[in-house]
Amino acid sequence: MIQKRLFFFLALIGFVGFSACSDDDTPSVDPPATGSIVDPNVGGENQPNQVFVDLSTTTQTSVSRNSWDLGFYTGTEFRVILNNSASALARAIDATDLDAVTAADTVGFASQLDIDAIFGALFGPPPAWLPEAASWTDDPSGDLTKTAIAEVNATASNNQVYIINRGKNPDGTQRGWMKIRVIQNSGGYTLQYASIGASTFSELDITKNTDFDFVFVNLDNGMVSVAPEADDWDFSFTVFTNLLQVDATTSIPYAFKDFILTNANRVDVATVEITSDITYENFAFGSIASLEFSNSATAIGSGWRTVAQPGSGQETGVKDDIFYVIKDTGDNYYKLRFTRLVDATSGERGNPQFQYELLNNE
Amino acid sequence: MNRWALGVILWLWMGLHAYSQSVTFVVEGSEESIPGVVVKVRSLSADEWVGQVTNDQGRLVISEEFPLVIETSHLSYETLIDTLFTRKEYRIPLVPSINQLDEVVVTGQFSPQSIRNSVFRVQAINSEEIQSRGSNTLQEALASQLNIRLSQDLALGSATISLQGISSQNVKILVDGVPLVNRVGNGNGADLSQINLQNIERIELVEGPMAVNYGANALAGVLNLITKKDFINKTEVQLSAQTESAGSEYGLDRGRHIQSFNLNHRLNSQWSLLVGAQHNDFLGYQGGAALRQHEWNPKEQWSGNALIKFEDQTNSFHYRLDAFDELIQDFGTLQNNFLPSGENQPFAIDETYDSKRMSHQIQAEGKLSFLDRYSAFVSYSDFERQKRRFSKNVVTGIENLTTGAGDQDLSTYRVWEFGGTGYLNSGESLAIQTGYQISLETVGGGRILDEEQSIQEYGIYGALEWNPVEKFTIRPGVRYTNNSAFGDQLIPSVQLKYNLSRSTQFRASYGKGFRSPSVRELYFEFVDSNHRIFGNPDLLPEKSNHFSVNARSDYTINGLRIQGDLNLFFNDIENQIGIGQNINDVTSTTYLNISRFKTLGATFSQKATIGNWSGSLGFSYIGRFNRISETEENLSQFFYSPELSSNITYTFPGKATSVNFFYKYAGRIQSYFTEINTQNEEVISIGEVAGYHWMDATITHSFGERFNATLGARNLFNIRRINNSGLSGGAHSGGPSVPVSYGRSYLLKLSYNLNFK
Repeated sequence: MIQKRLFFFLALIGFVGFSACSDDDTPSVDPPATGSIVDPNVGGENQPNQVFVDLSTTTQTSVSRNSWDLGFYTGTEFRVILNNSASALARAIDATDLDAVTAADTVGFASQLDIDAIFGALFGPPPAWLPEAASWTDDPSGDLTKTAIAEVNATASNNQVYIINRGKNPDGTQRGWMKIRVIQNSGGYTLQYASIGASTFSELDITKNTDFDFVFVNLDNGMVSVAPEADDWDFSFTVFTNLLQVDATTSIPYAFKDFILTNANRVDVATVEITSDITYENFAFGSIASLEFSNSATAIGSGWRTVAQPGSGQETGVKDDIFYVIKDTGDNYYKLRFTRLVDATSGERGNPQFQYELLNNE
Repeated sequence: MNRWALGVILWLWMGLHAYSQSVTFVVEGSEESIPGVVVKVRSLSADEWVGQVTNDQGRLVISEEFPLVIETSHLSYETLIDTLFTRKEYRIPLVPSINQLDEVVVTGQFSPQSIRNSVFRVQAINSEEIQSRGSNTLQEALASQLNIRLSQDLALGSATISLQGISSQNVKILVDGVPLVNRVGNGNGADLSQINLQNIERIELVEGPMAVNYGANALAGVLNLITKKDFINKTEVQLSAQTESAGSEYGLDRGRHIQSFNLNHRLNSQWSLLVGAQHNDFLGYQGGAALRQHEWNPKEQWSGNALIKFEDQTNSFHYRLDAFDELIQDFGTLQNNFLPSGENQPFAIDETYDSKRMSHQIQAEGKLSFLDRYSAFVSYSDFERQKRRFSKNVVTGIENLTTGAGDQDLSTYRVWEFGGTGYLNSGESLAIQTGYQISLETVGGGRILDEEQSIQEYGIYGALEWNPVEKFTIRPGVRYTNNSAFGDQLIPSVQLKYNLSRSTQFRASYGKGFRSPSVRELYFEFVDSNHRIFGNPDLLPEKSNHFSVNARSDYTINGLRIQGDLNLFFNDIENQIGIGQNINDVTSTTYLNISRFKTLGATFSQKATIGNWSGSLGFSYIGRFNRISETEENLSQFFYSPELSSNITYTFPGKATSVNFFYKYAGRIQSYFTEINTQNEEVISIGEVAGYHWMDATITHSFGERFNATLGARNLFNIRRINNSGLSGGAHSGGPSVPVSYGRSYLLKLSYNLNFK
């Protein structure tokens, strides 16, 4: 009996060993990570980093959120996104020649095309331009048909000049202003850009690299690497410029900290409320069927944490009455809970931690 | 015996009988005699009044010729004027005066004055009422006061006042006329839960701006706490212990426990001493909060005071020290933290707020050869609050201070205050008072520009009380103030008083008031990712015009003597400070003189005593201005809120036991707010903070001379939170309800008094 078991055991090891080195030519697929505890490098109080997390490999990719300005979509459409994490804003100028646009065309922009100025405008008689402010930022849903910069038209002369407020650095300082114009160029893009007062401009050709969703550009340094390849991240921690509704017709851009964006359409998220029966510890694969999943980029959003407000009795911390089930880009199901939002010693925000575990289909 | 002798005796007897008739004064409705009644007697055939005082048996002998007129005067009894026609033994009942009416008050007065004679409408809460309610803080003492609303901060358990619908920034709290410094203001904006009433003899309340006498920030009124300075016995010792539940939570480590000690002693006819201390330990109310946390945070207060007093025939002088220390602990919720080893060491972010106040006062008053009365004071107050925030590892117990901006903050408020008045009574119909006041304030804190700012204010003022005709008094006053932050102010006021009769008085008052911009409003500095708020050093003071008319009368219905008071008021505040966009830097917000606010209202209150019952019933109706009505049409300008208040006391025969009820209904407060309806349209809706009933009840009993016990219940209707439908859920709203209390609580207080004559 014992010998028989030993035989099967050795046979199994042999089989596994054999199959592992049987075909060296095809890339070996590591089994998905069974779980871990991760401290994303968000960088503390000012949250200077965007952190992209891949659950199945337990990797995190940390990028300074002020390292880029524009993202060029690599799909079929020609779309350009702004650096939402820096609260960058863009507004079209009725001109198609970058050199023709001067400081005279941007009079008043400093008191409008600026996230702090927009917020400040709430504390006075509402200015006529306030309802427009929402259109100066990309739609927070991630819907690429609602970007601040219009779709790049195949006819070059249809593409307007945009004034870009490059937003804020993590320390709160301004990143400055630029004028840009984007045209199509043999299946890719050409970016024209210059300082507002400049009488000449620079050009940068951008090819669509479909391994990524976007090709990222820094207006000082050219192309830069930001998000990992499209299938290599599941969600990201970022400062996020959302829209805050202030009255029936007006929403304004407003920056949220500790925001989580999921890899839209590739990652599904379900929120699970903890009850006396359902806990993170006892949650198993079999319960997945009863969950409602969302593939939206903001499925987690800011819903995983609370922030202390005067009089609310709430503390700045994670919501400890929920956890998440995530189907990652490799179709693995994980249960995931955020364990903290602040550093355990310094109390500093921007020091999150989460714990996750593979749900095995057994 | 010969007939001659008999005639002489008879003549003497008759003469004695005729010329020395006795009169005994007794308490109305009883046989108890009243010693010490001052009686003026004038025979109708004479021009001269002759004064006498009743003896221990309440009796005096009248030797004047009948018929005659008598006029009584006694602090505790109504004055009686009567003509006695026939020569006989009289037993004359005197009606006890309702205590408050003749209570002597000092707030705003040239010299101590009865409430009846005061040109201002002064209300008083005396120490008996404070005691019978088991009140230890000003917050508890004012819980059923008409025209006053208290609002609570849940985290810190602080309570701020609004008076006549005007917020606490405009209500000035004084101790013997000197502003009580707190974290946010020199007298105004105070946390009433930090104001201890040990050794407070009386709380005087004057509604309406008292700017001429008391300067800035008294726009809605003043609350003047009069400390105990006069001692009946040579030595008085008082020990007391009080224990309370916090809602249904009670135990040695729960509820609230208070211990007090007080000693005062007259060293000789001139020098007296007082020392007192109190420990007020609220151990928090957990309620439905999570592990470690509290709905109402624990708060431990220590307070102490000391007094040295000198007095002779013409002058008195005292030094008073008040010390206060408060520790509030806010325990955070547990959060997980997995170490690289995989071990979970949960932690919590805890906060403590440690407030300390020391105030020193030297006061002098008396007569000088050239002044009928002078008073002067010097005061130094030092308030500081240390906020600490730390992370506690609950496995190791190690605590680390957190590093965020503003996490560790020391806010300080230090004030030197100097003041003095002189009063000259030139003849029967004219009196004049002049005074000065100097405030030197230094305010510090992490969110104040350069961490510390100073403001100096110098004021001089004068007022006249003039009786152009009998029964009529006019009191014009003016104050000139120079403030280092906003320059000069000239503040006028005028009061009129007409005595229709001894029992009925009419008053009318106009006063201008102002509120200085606070140091925070002038020099605040707060920048984070979503906020850029800066103070505005160019702010002007808020200014108000206040009008009020008042009638007070004592009248009788079916033999029931009633004291009635009707008061109408109107306040109009201009240049109210609000938050607005900074036009010089549109990315920031600042404080601006942008708003207007008005309140108006009527208060009607009555007091009566029937046998062993005494009680009061008051009603008020206050309208608060709707700012939004200035820009939107067809909106009512004011929303009105009713209040009903009643205190009832029944004293059992023998006076050892009394039962007291303190009731108040605080009506709903409505306001307009904008919201988005289901059709996604912006509409203006009416929101309201719901009304609620509040009742405290106590039984007090004296066991002989030395022991007293109070058994009571606070918040009998068990109010915890009241609904607030006027919040549209903005980024900083605290939810749809407003905290009031932790629920019905019970208290027991025992005190021991030892007096040596």
